[in-house]
Amino acid sequence: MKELRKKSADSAVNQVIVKAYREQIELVWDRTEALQPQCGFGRMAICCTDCLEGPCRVNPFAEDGQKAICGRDQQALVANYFLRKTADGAAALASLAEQFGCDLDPSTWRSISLTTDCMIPCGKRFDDLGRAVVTTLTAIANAQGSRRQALPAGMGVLEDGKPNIVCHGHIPPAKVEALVKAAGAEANVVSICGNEKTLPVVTNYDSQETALLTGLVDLLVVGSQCVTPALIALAEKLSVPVTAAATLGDEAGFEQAIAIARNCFHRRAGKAGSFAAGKKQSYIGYDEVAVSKGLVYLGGCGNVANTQDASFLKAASFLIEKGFAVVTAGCAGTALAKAGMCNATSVINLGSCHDAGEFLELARRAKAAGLPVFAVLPELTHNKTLATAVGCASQDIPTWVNLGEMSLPADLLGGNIRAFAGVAQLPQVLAEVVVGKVSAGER
Amino acid sequence: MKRVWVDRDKCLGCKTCELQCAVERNSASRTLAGAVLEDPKPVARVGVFGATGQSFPIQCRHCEDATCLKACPSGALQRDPEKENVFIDQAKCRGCWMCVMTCPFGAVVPSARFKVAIKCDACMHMEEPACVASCPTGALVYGDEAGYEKVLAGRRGRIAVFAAADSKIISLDFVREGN
Repeated sequence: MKELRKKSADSAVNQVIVKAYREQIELVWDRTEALQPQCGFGRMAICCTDCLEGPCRVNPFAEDGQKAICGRDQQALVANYFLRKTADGAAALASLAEQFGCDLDPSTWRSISLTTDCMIPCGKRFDDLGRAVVTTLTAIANAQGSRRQALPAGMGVLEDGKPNIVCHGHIPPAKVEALVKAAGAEANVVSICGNEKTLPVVTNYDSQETALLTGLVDLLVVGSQCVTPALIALAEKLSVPVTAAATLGDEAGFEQAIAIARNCFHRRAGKAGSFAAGKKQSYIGYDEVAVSKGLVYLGGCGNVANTQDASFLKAASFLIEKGFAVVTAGCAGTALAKAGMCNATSVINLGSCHDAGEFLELARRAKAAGLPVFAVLPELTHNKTLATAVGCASQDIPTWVNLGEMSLPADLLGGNIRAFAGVAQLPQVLAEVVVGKVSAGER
Repeated sequence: MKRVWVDRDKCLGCKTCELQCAVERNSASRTLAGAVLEDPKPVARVGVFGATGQSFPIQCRHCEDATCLKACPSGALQRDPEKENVFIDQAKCRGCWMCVMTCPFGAVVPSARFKVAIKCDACMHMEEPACVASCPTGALVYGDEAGYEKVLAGRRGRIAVFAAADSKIISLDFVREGN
């Protein structure tokens, strides 16, 4: 691994990475390096594997634009790719909503069920998807409610001296509650990504492996999304027990899980890896939001190609300095929380990224009060995050997303979704939002 | 002498050249489907390296003053008198890896399985190098200096014109073709 100490803005993560390097344990950064260079056709979204007459890739340097076998040109390929990823993300959110006990209308499911056999692109489908995402996120938000609670963030939430249970991967809140109840005072229950709303958070997506390498994890309870295969393999290698939340049904199941964690703790007693990890005071949820200039959603997952958390921290500092109330969630929220930025009532961490429906509600109220509202996602990885961005755009909230080398069709979603080149672009973004050049439906 | 030229702006890092080279020059079956099942796995003589967005295919440069030629103790490394490219006569190769160590590009690969060195030979017995034929963007081009001189002249011509046209210019700018 190159430049070991620059992989994350979270110093605890960097310490663990150094340890992993010395013990020759492969992490996500090693796999990324080994994979360089990554294919430009894929990054530009001009590689299509929808059908078996392909795969097709069009030459972006050709004099006359090359077309895929079915006739799609470069723009159509990108639009199709974007559509399918958005639909997949919407399905991911809908799947979570169902797991959380929400009843979704069949029309919502119908909007999400896109098939690649449908070959002719249609802009209307993005609007349908946007609506479906908004419905889904609102359902998830309504099922949970919100209030401000203190929940620390950082590797230091893993405690010495008692079993640590890590919940990861968007586990239904009811199951988390049952697990916490079964743990009582005996075990410490914390989260990686997906369950930041009710639990202290250890770290976020790209650094999920580092949590295990602390040697302090006695049970990993996994949900259905955002859990990497590498994490499961690493857990096996380190003899950390893993159980799927889906298998925990009745009280006996939860008691059994606590027993497993207890046994693991006794087996490793005294052998925890020692490192100077901290945790920062942080708050989840809101009772009220202090808004002065306007409201912004700062979301996203992070990208392993960059220093973890750095872009979120820079963006947040800039937006706060300019007087905007920052609403964040998910891995972006965890980045801010770990840096101690989620304490004021002008920076609200909603919890997990699937809690973004709460932002949509706040956005409605801010707009009604005549305040500028926008969304920016400096680094995103997963489809449901892309779907959330599309959902925001469909509510006439100007949304800036970093899509790398992909160039989006200009008139998508009323022009509300546009490319974000990096934190350096934020002054320009703010100028457009505040001066009012970007408003409902306008370009 | 004909050699493989690289337009680095056009390399997208798809590694089709690596696949085709391995299939055509190092597999028994000469098909992709067959090659992936072979043991030992076919080895490519070209490698695409670099960071994403800055990738570059590297194969043997067939240097006019080749260090591998000088380093080889057995005479396995030879230069074709007609085509001028450098190739390895594997029957003579003893696997000492001197060529592997001296090549400044790392273009020579040791085959531990067969105990010989493997290197691009510009597909000297074929019509066109496999990598060039397979490149989807035209980043790889096979030609001699005369062909490339045109590209260089074009670039220089544009700089010269730029400098002369406006007497207030205090620096030269490089204008890319097609922009």
